[in-house]
Amino acid sequence: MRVAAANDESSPTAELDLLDHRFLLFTGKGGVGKSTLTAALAIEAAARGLRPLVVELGHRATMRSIFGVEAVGITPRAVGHGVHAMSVEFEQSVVEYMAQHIPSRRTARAIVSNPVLDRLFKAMPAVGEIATINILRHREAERDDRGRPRWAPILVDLDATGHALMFLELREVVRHLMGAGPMRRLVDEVADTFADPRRTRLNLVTLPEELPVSETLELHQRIRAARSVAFGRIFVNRVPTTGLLGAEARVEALHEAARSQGDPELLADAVFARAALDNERRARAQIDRLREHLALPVVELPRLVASRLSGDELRALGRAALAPVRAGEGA
Amino acid sequence: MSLSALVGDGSLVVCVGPGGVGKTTVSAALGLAAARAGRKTLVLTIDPARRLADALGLDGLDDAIRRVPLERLGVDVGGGSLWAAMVDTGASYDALIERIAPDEDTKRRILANRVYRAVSRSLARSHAYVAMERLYDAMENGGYDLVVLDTPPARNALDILDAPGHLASFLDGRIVNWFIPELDKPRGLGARLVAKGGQVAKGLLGRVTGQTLLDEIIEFLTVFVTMREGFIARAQRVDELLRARDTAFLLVSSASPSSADDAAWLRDDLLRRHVPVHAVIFNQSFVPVVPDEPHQLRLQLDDADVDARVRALAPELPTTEALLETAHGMRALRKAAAADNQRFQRIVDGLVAELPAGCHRVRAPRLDEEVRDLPGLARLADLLLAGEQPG
Ligand SMILES: Nc1ncnc2c1ncn2[C@@H]1O[C@H](COP(=O)(O)OP(=O)(O)OP(=O)(O)O)[C@@H](O)[C@H]1O
Ligand SMILES: Nc1ncnc2c1ncn2[C@@H]1O[C@H](COP(=O)(O)OP(=O)(O)OP(=O)(O)O)[C@@H](O)[C@H]1O
Ligand SMILES: [Mg+2]
Ligand SMILES: [Mg+2]
Repeated sequence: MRVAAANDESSPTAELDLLDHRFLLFTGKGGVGKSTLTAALAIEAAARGLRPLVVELGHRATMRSIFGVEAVGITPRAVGHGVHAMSVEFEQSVVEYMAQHIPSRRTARAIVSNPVLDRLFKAMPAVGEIATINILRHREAERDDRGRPRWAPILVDLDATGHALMFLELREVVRHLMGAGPMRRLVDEVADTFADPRRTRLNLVTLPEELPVSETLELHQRIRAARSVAFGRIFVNRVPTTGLLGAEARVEALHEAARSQGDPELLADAVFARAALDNERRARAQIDRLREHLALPVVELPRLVASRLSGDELRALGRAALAPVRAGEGA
Repeated sequence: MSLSALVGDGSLVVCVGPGGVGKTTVSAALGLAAARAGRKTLVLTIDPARRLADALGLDGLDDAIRRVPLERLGVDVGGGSLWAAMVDTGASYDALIERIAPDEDTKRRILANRVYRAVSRSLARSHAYVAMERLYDAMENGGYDLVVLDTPPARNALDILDAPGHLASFLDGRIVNWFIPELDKPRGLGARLVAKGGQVAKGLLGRVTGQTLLDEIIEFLTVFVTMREGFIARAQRVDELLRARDTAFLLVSSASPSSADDAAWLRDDLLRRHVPVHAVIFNQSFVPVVPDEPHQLRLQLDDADVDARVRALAPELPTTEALLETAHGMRALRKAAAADNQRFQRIVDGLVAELPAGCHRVRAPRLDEEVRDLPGLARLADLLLAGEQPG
């Protein structure tokens, strides 16, 4: 059965609760704050009584370092703040996949431990990605003893954009490659879940800078055209604030006077403040540009101090990320 | 060899590092520095980094190597020149097939094969392989003094080390024999066992992936196997190139905790593989708080009696509450930046503590604006060369 493709009419507005979805996917350029935001939303979800599971793809160990735990592996584990997390590595997931599809455990083990076959599976197109979505599907299907989903929501840190597209476009990739069979069925099933706006939302994380914003707009276009997933929110992370907007004239006056009176320290302060204000204005212009082009809620998140973020700071970030906002004007 | 010496004398520089730290920007800046030092330099990026084209003043960046219009910079580069290209996986793969296919028919069959198309078009892992191929070709035939290779983020960066072996392993003789045993009729007992393994493998694959994929894989292998030797030989040469003594790996990091964690992971992985890390570049690792001295790293600002200073301006600028408030706001902003620098410093120290002796450390500040044109790159290049820290 093919569920209606993701479309824009159903894009969430302020009243839609993001956390009500089965899957929340996150992507964006390298280093913009995807993992931080995924963790922050999970913490806030747990604080609201949900049972969030964070899934990190690849052996990045980011969640381990964000939550400050020993290790995060392929089995979900509690990482504090009521959050569970797991980390899916490509190769491990291939092993799991094979083990599930080969009737005899003994054969499965023999095959997985056969170096030649093992290499073949790892080199084969799309197998790693398919094995990974296999794991996502299994986690989604888990139920607790009252029959409720064991995990809700499942927050997937999809990692960099290219990687995310690979998952979202998997159906297209395998379409011509695979005849009917368990792999194809699995891909179709997960692709349907991803394309269902009631079950899955893709959130884009970006920075208030020209190129990241351009890339976000392009990515949005591409995914919208492919209709492989519906959008949740656009998060603009690390928005700088000087607290001096509106005081520009006084900054200029201080700059001028400090220079003519020869106060180097005050002059340095003013020079710095000017540059910071320029920076803030550039950031505002980029956020306006996002709102102009996208009909999605655009959420601004503050730039926090540069040290490791504490649980409280993360939760505050998560709360800010869920605050009601007006959708942008874009088409 | 210091960074300036590397730029002046090195032949291959590979920039690796976590996402978003500035690998592409640093690669371009170093390439520019080398061109300014009179060298014929190529910056080769694997990253689909459109911003690089913009920054270099090119209207696009693709598989074709283009000359960067350095004259716009208005400095004399002598005999130096800067060239850039972005590896387009599909196009590079096709070009590779063109180069090594023994005849027209083989070429046609491969280019049309769906497994080949999937492998060459959409998969990150093959991206790394073909980029290495491209690098090899540029180094063998391009006549460059220096090639700077920019890589995709973190985990994938090390894929480039594994890449040469990866495709070769797909074409592993035993795998091929499993699928197309008629090529090489099993004779001894060992060979028969292998052939039996092949039946099991085929049955399994057919069950899991469906017969269509299996048939395409067999077709792919049948055609590809004729080129196997060529592939394996090239893979070996690329591997040698990467491990050559004068190939310098630069680990680029920023000073944020998570990129430092990733960078530490990369550092250890490189060392484990006996790949010497030539230098660690901490890009965007501090904010300059001293006007006109962007390379100055200041970690602390002395207390200043802001009220008194503002009042001292009184003859020219009458003191008001609002003015005092603004002056305090300015001061707080600059102090916060210095405090940030201090936090960054601790992170940098942590990463540096476990570097082998002889590994250079370079710090570059976070510039006010994104680096997005040639003058910006030139500025960053100067700061990088000036940013070498005492070891
Ligand atoms: N709002 C914020 N204020 C200050 N620092 C932040 C903020 N959000 C994230 N950071 C910091 O920025 C760095 C990068 O964040 P994070 O690791 O979440 O990014 P990412 O997009 O997941 O990166 P990658 O692409 O490498 O996976 C981290 O050090 C994190 O602590
Ligand atoms: N020293 C710097 N000061 C200010 N901005 C910088 C600096 N270095 C890089 N940038 C900016 O940071 C952003 C990321 O840089 P870049 O694309 O080079 O990173 P990358 O490591 O190649 O990222 P990716 O992992 O996505 O390939 C760009 O907008 C770039 O202009
Ligand atoms: Mg991350
Ligand atoms: Mg890059």
